[in-house]
Amino acid sequence: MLGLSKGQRDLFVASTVLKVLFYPAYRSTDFEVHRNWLAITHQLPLKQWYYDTTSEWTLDYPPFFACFSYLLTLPARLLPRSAQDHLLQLSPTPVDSWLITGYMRTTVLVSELVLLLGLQRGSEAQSIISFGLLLHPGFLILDSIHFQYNGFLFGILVWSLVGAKEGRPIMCAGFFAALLNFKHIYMYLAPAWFIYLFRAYCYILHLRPLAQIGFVTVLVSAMSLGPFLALGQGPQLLSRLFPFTRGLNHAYWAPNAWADITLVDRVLYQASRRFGLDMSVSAAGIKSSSRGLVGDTNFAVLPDIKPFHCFVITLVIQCISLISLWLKPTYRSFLQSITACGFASFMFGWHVHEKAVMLLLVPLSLMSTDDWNHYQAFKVASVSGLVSLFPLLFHAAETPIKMGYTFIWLVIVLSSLRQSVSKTPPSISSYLADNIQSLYLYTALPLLLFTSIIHPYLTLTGAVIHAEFLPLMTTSIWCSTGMWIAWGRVLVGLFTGHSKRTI
Amino acid sequence: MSRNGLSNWSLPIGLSAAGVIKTAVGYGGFSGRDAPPMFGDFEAQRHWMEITLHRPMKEWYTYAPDWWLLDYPPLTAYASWLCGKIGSALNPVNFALDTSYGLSPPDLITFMRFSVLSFEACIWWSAVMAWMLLQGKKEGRSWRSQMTGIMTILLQPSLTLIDNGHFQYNSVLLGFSLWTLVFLTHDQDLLACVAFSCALCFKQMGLYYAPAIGCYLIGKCIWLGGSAGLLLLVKLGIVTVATFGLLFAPWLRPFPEAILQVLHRMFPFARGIFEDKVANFWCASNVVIKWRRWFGINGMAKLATVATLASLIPLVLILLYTSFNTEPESRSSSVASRTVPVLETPRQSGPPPSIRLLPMALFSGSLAFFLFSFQVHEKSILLPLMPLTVLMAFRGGKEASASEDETWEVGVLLNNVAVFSMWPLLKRDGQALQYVFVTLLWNYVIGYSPTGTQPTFLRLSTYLIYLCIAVLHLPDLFPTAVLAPGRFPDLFIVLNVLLSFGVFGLAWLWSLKRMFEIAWAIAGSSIDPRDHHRSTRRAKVD
Repeated sequence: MLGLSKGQRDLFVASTVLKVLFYPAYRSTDFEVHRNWLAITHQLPLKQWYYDTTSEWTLDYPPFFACFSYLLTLPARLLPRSAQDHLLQLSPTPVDSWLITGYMRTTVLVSELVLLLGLQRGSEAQSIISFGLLLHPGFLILDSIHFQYNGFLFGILVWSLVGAKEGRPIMCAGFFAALLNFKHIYMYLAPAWFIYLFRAYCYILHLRPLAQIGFVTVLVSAMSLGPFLALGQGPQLLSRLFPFTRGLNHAYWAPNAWADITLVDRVLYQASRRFGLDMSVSAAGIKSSSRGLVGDTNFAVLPDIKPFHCFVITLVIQCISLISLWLKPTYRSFLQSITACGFASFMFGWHVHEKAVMLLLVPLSLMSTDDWNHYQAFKVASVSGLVSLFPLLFHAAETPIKMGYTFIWLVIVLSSLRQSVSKTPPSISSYLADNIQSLYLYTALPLLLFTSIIHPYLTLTGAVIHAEFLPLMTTSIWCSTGMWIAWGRVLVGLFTGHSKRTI
Repeated sequence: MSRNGLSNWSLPIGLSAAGVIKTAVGYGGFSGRDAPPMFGDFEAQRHWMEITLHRPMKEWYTYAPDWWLLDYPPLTAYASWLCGKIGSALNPVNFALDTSYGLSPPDLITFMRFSVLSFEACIWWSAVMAWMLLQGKKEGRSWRSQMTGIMTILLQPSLTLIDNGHFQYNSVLLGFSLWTLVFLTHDQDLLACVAFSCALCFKQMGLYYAPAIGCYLIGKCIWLGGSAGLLLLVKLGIVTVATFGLLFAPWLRPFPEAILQVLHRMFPFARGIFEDKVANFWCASNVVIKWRRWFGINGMAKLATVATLASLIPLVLILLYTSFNTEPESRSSSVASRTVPVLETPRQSGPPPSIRLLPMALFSGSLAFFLFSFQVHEKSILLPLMPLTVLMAFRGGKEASASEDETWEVGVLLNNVAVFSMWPLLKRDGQALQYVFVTLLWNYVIGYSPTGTQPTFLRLSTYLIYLCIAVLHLPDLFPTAVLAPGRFPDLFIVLNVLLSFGVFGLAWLWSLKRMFEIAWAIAGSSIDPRDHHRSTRRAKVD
């Protein structure tokens, strides 16, 4: 079945059953967000979709996702009349019932078929990679518990990559354009697509492929945005999709460069207070720091960061990887630059959410059997990335699930991948890097022990007060360290030429 | 799963998977959730934690008689005290005396679920692993078959749904009982006595196993014979009395009154012959014979006792006769025989041949109790299921034989029917989703495929039974279309009882047949070498 081995099939069935058993588990406000979009697209005519403010969870994904929401309302007609009305009502307050939960969770489960089919088509030779992606704990945590449709969206991404791998630029461009019109966060990766498609198929001015690729991209975007532009809703759409009112860091710092810099700022501020150092301290920064993590981040000591800075830094760093892609426009190089673009935007982007870590984990895992270096990068990025997702499920009830499932997945995937990668003869630097990385990975245990047992216990007994941010900050800083290591390895892979694939 | 480097990891992976699945089952409903005035088992367990924590031991069995009175033996009370101690340290409001009735905030639910899981892992999982790994080592079974065996037992749907879903601590009782079996198999009779006393002192339902274990131990004394047998008997008696004495110590004085009160709490004969609808003989036959009207409660208690004892006679006879008929001297011949895996021990004082009967005897005996005794819960079917599932895990060993396959098939059938028999209960608890998927998962994990190669009689009847189960689920699938007729609102529940009782009853007869066959095989292999020729001929005829 599905090109999976017996053991993988067992795990596929087990994880599907598990996802169904998670139906009654915790779900975030994203659940109500998506339910509300079903209601909006069902109750209102197209022209009001981006204007409705009945619920605070307004529609802020591009039009294709709105159409997807509309499609999801169609099977809902099979539900009993009362449940259907309940599910599709516009309401300022959250709406929930057992049937609604079951229905919404099922749509997530079914939409993941897009990912399954894409993976099956794309990499039949490396079933462990497909299998690892399909059952990725990231998807389990984000989609099956927290509630989003990442499996579906990454499925479209995988279909686009299938097009690139099979040398079909139109398919590649079409799917990616569609993906952008589902969720615009994938724009972070767009430069890689642009350069790859242009360099590999249109350079220097092959007019036919250029016209084809251009046409399909415009066509897809026109299908999505056209109606709204025709209604003159362009500015409204833009303001919904890009709300530049958010802060540098998300409420919980995503493990990136800004988390580290924020920490440095906090430390400098405390130091300046304790030792009476003469530093120019901003009042907004003090307020921000005393609030812990919630809301905008203003630095007390360091100069403030503006969205423009983030944008420039990200783009400059992305360019580095794009140069390499330009010089060598192969599929493998393409994957590498997607990963590098993902890293650049994750590490330096404005208001990055920890969920964005999937943007780099997915392309990275497609390269995980390329060579020893990429295997190690995948290992450290997976562990750090997944640990950074743990705080999303903050109830004790979900702790065994997120840790247990991640443990199982890591053991199976890493030990299977390990067999298909041969270790390169160690140089001093790679020997050092491997050992430092192992040492780092072992510190995950004390970290998890601290954040999930020791700190909650100390808080309960009153030994630690007003330190809710401590476990979050530690997690964030720890994970960002892993991200730096992984990113370093990806960059090394980008510039040290390509060793032979060993499969 | 067990490929190359992965096989080292298969045990941690399997255990983590079981933990993850059981935790996920816990997200569903539980007994008495938001169901005032009395709530259910969840509240009972919470309340016991509350009173054991706050009241002196003397009052444990008498405090607040209008709420859930403690009606399990002392070990449950001690366990409740421990949970209460920890839970109260986490959030004292949830266990505040007299003011915490019926509470079920999320943190309390999480704590209670984890307490079940922790007890289970410590006592039940450890017993399962000890049993499978020791047995596997002895028989040289493949790692894969051992892992399958462990997962077969750990993911057993009925126990998962009742303990991690409905909310009870049955796995502790089953764990102590399985430890008893492990110790007996490895000739540690005194430790077995301690373990079994703990089982009985955790839940009086452990008595279902008592006839098999008692007869086996008495049989062993007979088998050893003479002073050795007598010495063992005395030792066993002392250890058992000492364990009980220790656990019941706080209620020994004033001598008869205190302990009588505890015993009265544990065996409340006033409650009636069965609760709700149970797939046992009395409830099933109640459809045509109104027992209570004829005999009254007291008469029923006596009748049920007589029926239970009568149903145990074959088991007692087979166990005792086998022990009596085999002698330690003839062990040499049975050790040599390859067909007796359990006896392959180099030690001089191995367990008697009747050990091979023990798991089946545990199944048969507890099923007899379930079918015929007084005051049975539908959850009591967990007791017969345990030894049967343990036997199922034997499948696929080096000594694989047709009878093991048969046992396995019966085990699958009985597990599925048992979980079906608890459907009304699970539906009420809000465990419907879990009921479907945990059962399907288990059938998948053990590799059960309904399309077998040979359509044996067993398989055909299995199809028929599953078909009936599917039909009986129609009203749940189409609640508006399929309705019970107005005169019989409980029609589908009664049909559930009748079907389940039929299967359980036949399984009991089958267990007697299997015990007889095993006893016959033991008798055949332990006959004097001179008669060897005759015995093999006799086995062939059989």
